[in-house]
Amino acid sequence: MNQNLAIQAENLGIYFRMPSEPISGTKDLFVQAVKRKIKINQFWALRHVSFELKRGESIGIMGRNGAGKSTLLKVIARVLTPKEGRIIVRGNVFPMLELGAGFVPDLTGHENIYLYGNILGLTNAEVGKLYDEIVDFSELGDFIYAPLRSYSSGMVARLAFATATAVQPDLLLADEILSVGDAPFQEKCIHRMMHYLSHGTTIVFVSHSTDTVKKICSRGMWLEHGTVKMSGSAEEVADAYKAQ
Amino acid sequence: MKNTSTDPTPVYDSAALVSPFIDETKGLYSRWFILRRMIYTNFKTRYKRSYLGVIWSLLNPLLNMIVFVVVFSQLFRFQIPHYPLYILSGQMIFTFFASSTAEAMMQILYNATMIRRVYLPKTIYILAGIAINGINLILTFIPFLLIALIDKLEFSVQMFMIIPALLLLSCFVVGMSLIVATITPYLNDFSQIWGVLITLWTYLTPLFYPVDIIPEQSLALYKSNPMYIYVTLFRDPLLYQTIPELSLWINGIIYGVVFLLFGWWLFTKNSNEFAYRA
Repeated sequence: MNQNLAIQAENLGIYFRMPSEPISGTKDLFVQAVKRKIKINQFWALRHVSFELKRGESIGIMGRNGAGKSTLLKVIARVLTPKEGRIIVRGNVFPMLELGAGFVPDLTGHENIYLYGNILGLTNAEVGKLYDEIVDFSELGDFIYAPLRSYSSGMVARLAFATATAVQPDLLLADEILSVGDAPFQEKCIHRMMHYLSHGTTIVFVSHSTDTVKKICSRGMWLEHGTVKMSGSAEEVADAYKAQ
Repeated sequence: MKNTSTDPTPVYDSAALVSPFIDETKGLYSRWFILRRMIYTNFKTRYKRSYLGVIWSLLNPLLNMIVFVVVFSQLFRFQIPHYPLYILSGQMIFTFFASSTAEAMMQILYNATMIRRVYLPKTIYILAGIAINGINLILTFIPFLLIALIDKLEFSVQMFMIIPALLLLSCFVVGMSLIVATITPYLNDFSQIWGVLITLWTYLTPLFYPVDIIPEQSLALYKSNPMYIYVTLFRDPLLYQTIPELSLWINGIIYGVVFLLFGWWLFTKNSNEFAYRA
């Protein structure tokens, strides 16, 4: 095994079950079992996906809605275990699959920083040390003591990005994170990602914006219907994807 | 995990996930601080929205007990010493069991957004739910003590035996919760069935009537009910200065250990599927 690889994906396959008629309860289960009508269609969200990513590299994943981009990130983040194939990930993974996924609306921003930090594997003491910096970066000011439910989506995104990137991660998974937040904040986020990238972080970046992909990533991958349609340098793939 | 930056690089290999039972145990051990955080979060969110907050968890068993005392001492005239405490102590144990399992079934559903987006050992969600009910159980000792003083309950050294009794009960409750939590994602309306089973179970456990009313021939079967065992192991030393016979303790240990191991095995074997179904 190559220690230099941050991600090794071999022939990955993920399918979801799509019952032809929804089975939601016991009654349905009995009725369908008697009629022998339970037909479950497998919908392959990803199939035959193989790639390798070296440490410190960054890859931009492009593709239309439903192409399997988010599913791929979830496999890397260990949320979905592959039904087929194998995935090996080395290093601390900081997933940002939809910003604010680990947040609880009833808690204050302050409490959510600790919750999210813990989920990312940081102890309370470690979060405590980073706390001021996180609040600073998120530009939330006194809102930090208000419940998250009163935040705008941009504020949630800022807090999530600030918390998730407070420590330099080995591997950063970013799913459409720059679609929220205003331009200056996006600039700030990109700046921070570039900084980590130059210091050894591996980045998997999902975006519809081919320009951002070109800016951040060295490599590119184009997914279509769950399979790799094209793979190469970020420049090539982004241009081809845009040209379609 | 003391410090993420100085740790040897963690490796996740999907092909190396061969023993979910052990993987989950290790994962939970290394992330115990998340469990603590989730308990705190649950506690905070649960009591934030009601005016009386924590007070409700003290008031509820007390009000329930009053209803039972009024109804049953008038209706059936059971000759049970310390009858209000008899009801209260039985209820403390049974409520812990009933609400822990009820909550466990909902945990995967409630935390669906998180389960679909971040990886955490799934037992964290279940254990956090049980812990809240455990805290509730401990809090109900406050109204219990209050009534005990009014009722002039005799305090004794035997009372310390409730500690092992509660530990065994907790093993059983965790095991049972993991079992029902595994079933629910596959069968959405299992919670309805479980509600009925719990009601039946309430009547099969001596919570407000004495054990003497059970006919001799069905007594052996009646006493094999794990909740009968845990209620007795808790109530006898607490109220009557007696330590239950050894065979009852052994049965309590067997139920606790077997259910815990089976529940843990069943849950961890299936927990990777939850993100697909939640």
